[in-house]
Amino acid sequence: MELGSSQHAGDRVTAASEMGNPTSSSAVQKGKKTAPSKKASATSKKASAASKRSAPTMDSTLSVKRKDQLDKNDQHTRKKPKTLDEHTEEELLLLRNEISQILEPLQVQLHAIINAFPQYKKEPWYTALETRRELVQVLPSQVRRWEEFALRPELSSFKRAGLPFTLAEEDRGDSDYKLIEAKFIDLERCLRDTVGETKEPPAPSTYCFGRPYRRCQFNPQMAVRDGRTGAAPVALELLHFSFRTFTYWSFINPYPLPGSPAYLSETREIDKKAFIRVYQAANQLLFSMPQLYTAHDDRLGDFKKALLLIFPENEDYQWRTNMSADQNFSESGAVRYKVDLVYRHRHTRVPLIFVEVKLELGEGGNPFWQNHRLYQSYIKKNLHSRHNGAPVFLVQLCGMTFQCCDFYISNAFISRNTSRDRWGVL
Amino acid sequence: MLLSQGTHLGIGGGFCDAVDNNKPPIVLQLGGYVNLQYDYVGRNLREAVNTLWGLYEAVNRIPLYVFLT
Repeated sequence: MELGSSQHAGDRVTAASEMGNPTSSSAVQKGKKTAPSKKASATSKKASAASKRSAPTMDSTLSVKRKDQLDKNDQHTRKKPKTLDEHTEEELLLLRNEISQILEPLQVQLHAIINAFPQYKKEPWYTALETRRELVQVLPSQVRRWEEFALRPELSSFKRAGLPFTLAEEDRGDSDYKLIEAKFIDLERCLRDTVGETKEPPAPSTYCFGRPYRRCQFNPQMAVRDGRTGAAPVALELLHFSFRTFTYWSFINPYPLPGSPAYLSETREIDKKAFIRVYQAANQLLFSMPQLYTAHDDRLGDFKKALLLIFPENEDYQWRTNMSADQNFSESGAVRYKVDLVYRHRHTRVPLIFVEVKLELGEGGNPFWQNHRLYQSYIKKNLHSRHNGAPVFLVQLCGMTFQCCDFYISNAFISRNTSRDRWGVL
Repeated sequence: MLLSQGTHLGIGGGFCDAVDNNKPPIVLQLGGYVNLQYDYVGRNLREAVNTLWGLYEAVNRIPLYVFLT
């Protein structure tokens, strides 16, 4: 069951707008019924005339009515791209936030150089830097797709702009030259890093939406082997003992009823106290998780409380909230992306469990896909962890709202955004 | 397709079978999603207990060196 395959933030928006939309098909039918009664009423002749002016085909012939109905249906179908836009707006906002974060070091560098050497205001390289700073500032609002980000001319090399170290020897004649040259080398390095980041898959919070996920999965360099594209991966149970242990214990009855055949033939030893704690945690989850939460952190906090019953913090293990799942010995700095909850070894910081929680089902993308990307970014930074395969359990929780793909409520068609592509009609 | 209403809990696993940086990791779901809502027959509770018990066994009973080395 691929729960997240149709989790789009826009689904709820679509459903809500459909149900509350006065121009939906039910509302159109109501309008058709009420129009003749208005015409029959003597007191509402003026209103009828006004309505005729505004909708002249309402009480005309059947064919005209059909024409009108078609128009309204067209209006109804034209609403769909609007909800699609609403859906993409959320993704676009996340994308722009991410791009702003990526561009921040570059902006700081540009700002520093421009402020440090005001005496060169008339030099072409100085004005070129000023122009570049202005353009980089507005760049996040210009980008609409991740792919076009790296290709933007604002991120082209600075060397084209007549920089001081490209000047002839006789034109230099300045004691600041070496300092300016060093700053420009820093700036070029920062620019290379920025462009390098654009070739990475997007951040987990963007990746977890359907479109970026599909785009990355079709790119072999970015793909995660999850059985969706390409050859089916080897089952995890065959790759590491911990996964086999999980599937073994989760698919049998761990604590059979006393007196039952399973109980009598039971030879495994169960830690009864631990089992009671697990039972309490499950009970707590079944009580708390179906509640409506107003904030993501509230749901996360309650989920963590239940997990603490099973995995309490001690001198070896700890839970960390909203923190990168990183080991101490990462050569190139900590992982930039943060996990909602991570259970890890206290001293070595080896993560064992990633937890990703969504407030409601379909809000903010698919938590499993988000965990994909978090895991991918973790093993990319921590190459040492790959020696034993870096086994990590990924726990994802998504909230309460109905998940809908394609179905009808009354006569309103609730649809995924892709329905238009799939069926060609609505 | 309409899934049952409820908060869903899923367990997956990540594993990287390549030491070099070329091969993407394997990330798979381990079993289906568990509906965290009381039902009449207690199936959801039983499934939640089994899932969490499996996670407990997998993480707590395995020596740390298995994860570290």
